[in-house]
Amino acid sequence: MGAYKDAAQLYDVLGTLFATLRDDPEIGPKVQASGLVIRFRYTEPDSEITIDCTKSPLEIIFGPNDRKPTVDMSMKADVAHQFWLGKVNLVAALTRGQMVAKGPIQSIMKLLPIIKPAYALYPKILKEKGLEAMIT
Amino acid sequence: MYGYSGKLLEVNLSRGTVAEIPLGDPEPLRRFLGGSGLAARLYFDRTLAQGKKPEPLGADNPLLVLPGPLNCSRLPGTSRFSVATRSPLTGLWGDSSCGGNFGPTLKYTGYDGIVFTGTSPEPAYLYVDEATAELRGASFLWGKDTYQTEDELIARHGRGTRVLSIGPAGENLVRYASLVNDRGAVAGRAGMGAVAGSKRLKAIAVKGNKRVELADPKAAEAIARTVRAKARESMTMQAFTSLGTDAVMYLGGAMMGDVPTRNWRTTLWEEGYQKLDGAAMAETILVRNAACLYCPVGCKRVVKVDQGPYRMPPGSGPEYETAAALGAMCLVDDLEAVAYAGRLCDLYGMDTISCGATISFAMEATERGLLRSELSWGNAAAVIGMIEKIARREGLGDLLAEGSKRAAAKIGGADFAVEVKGLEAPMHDPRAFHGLALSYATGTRGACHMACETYALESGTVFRPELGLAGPFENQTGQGKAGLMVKAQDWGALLNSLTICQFINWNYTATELVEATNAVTGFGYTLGEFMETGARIWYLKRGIGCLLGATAADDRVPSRALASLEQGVTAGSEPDFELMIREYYPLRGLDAQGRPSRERLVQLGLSDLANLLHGQ
Ligand code: SF4
Repeated sequence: MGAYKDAAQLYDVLGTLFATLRDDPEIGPKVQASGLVIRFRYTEPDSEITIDCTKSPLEIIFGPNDRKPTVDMSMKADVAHQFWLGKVNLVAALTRGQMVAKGPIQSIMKLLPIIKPAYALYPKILKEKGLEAMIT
Repeated sequence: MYGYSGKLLEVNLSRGTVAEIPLGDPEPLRRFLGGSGLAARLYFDRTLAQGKKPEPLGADNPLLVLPGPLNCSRLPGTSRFSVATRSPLTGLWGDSSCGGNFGPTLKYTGYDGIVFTGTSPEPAYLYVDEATAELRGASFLWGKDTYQTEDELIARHGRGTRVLSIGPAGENLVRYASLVNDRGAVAGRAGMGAVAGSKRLKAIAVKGNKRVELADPKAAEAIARTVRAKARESMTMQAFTSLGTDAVMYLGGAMMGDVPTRNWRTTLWEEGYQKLDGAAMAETILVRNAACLYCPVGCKRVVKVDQGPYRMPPGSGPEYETAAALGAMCLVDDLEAVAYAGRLCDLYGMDTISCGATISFAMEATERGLLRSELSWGNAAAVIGMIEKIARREGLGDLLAEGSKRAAAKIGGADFAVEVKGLEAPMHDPRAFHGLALSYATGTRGACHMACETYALESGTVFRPELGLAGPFENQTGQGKAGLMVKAQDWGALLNSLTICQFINWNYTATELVEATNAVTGFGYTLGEFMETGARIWYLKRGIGCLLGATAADDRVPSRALASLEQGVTAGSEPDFELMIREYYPLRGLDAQGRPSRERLVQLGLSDLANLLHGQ
């Protein structure tokens, strides 16, 4: 079985992560300022989260929608989980096709400083939700 | 003969003569290919095999300028060439790879390379086209920078002329002086420019259109199409096109701990990495990207600064190594200042890695009271002032022009001069990727990550399943790195002999590169024979190093680059260097003194080297 038991749990955990980033006084404005529409597409379980920074405040949308993404990232949900735990070598994952990123590379690279603080947040969120067992 | 014109130029600068030497038998080419591999063989034959051990800056030290067999094939990434000889920085084997347009144009003149010997009584340049090869006076160019030299020789010889030249640093024998072509394509490492300067060879100007026959042009074109398509799809290549190699500054520094900062003492410099990143460059000083001949990627930067103290017209901009060495290592986070410092190095003709690392060393020496200087962390004006002084060997610049190893021998601080065998380490941190420690320790030219493919393999940029290197590899462990290193070094030796760009090479599978080589040369290699050729070249360079004085004791990495940091993403990570080197020696077939074993050399057809190393 994968890290997330179903799409609802994935939406709950990653939704909280993205909302925390949005509400963080330092990170939130940077995410908003990127002006990107970032779509994360996951498999196993099939799920989709879109962060629309063209709207203010930015919107986090669960499930398929008609927003046009600037950056499209697809991966297995397990890879996403390991990634937010800081355990995935991003370069190797992209080389091996475990993560597929589409969109202007400049925009993707600009996401990195935004992504970095999330590494510390993610295990905390799992703990708060009683999901410590997922931190392995 | 396919892929080669079948002749070299031999230029005796003392006598002022230029002669053609036929390459004759293609077998040596099959065994050593071209670029730094063939250079090593030619060097060995002309010096050590005859009992000669020329001083690096001596008249009898031959300087070799060699493109590779793929240079005129239009295969992506095949425009590089090697400049090689005994290095004035290390005293050992030195080779330096360079991009731009010079390499293929040299081949289009009808020559497979040039060997320079002697010392010219007056400054000279060599002019070569399809009908002419002659030495000409260069007193009018002496003292001029590499851009001026290029401009003047192009004005003199017309459009299509490509110029490889030294700047004032080479003339003044700065031990890490470079040669530059195409305004910023640099043969930077190991001080090849100082050797040219010692010979009073200011420049080589080439112009030609002569075709080089390929064994199977259709097959070559088919591979070229496949590789171009892969490069278009590759995220890494897209990043290099848009942001240059400096695309990795933030990723490497803040997220991987791979960017040496403040003389290898921290990776806590997140804002600095962001300010120096290729993305910041793209939004500020970038004018456009630029490419070597036949490159679909174009990682090179053309930048300009319109106003302020670092005002400069469009020209070469910093690639990653430059931004890290002159920026992060010196704690200078002003991108315009770093770009300006890098440009100065290109104009004066100096390796940005050795220059930045030596200045960073001097900053720490100043901080510790070993040196009195204006150098201090983050002081961009002092860095720029020191680059000028080094190029002219003025004041403290005269000491720093010797490189960090010699400077440390004089003033102290060897424990924080991060060099191996005298060559300053490049801008990747072994605490992020432990295998780097082994590649720095055992690189055939000193601390180097471009002589082998370990860094790309460990970082996950490329995998080589056909070589048994399917990965992924754990970054921060020494386990298994010795075996990886042996194959990655043999592969690296091939790349530098084919003179293919190490970035573009990631878009070729191993099999495709063998097929590409066969399509050009008709050598008909199997993958096994190809790898054996890489091994032969690696052992030859290693053996030359041993004959020039390197021993097992030199296969080390300063503790400064190994000791774990207390904070940052690599906190607590300490490469187990002893494990790696212990496993590596027997796998590599090296004896306790670091010499390649007789058996291995004989097996590779290097009996002459074996006899010199081990006795008849
Ligand atoms: S990727 Fe860069 S260094 Fe390599 S061939 Fe292209 S422009 Fe030259």
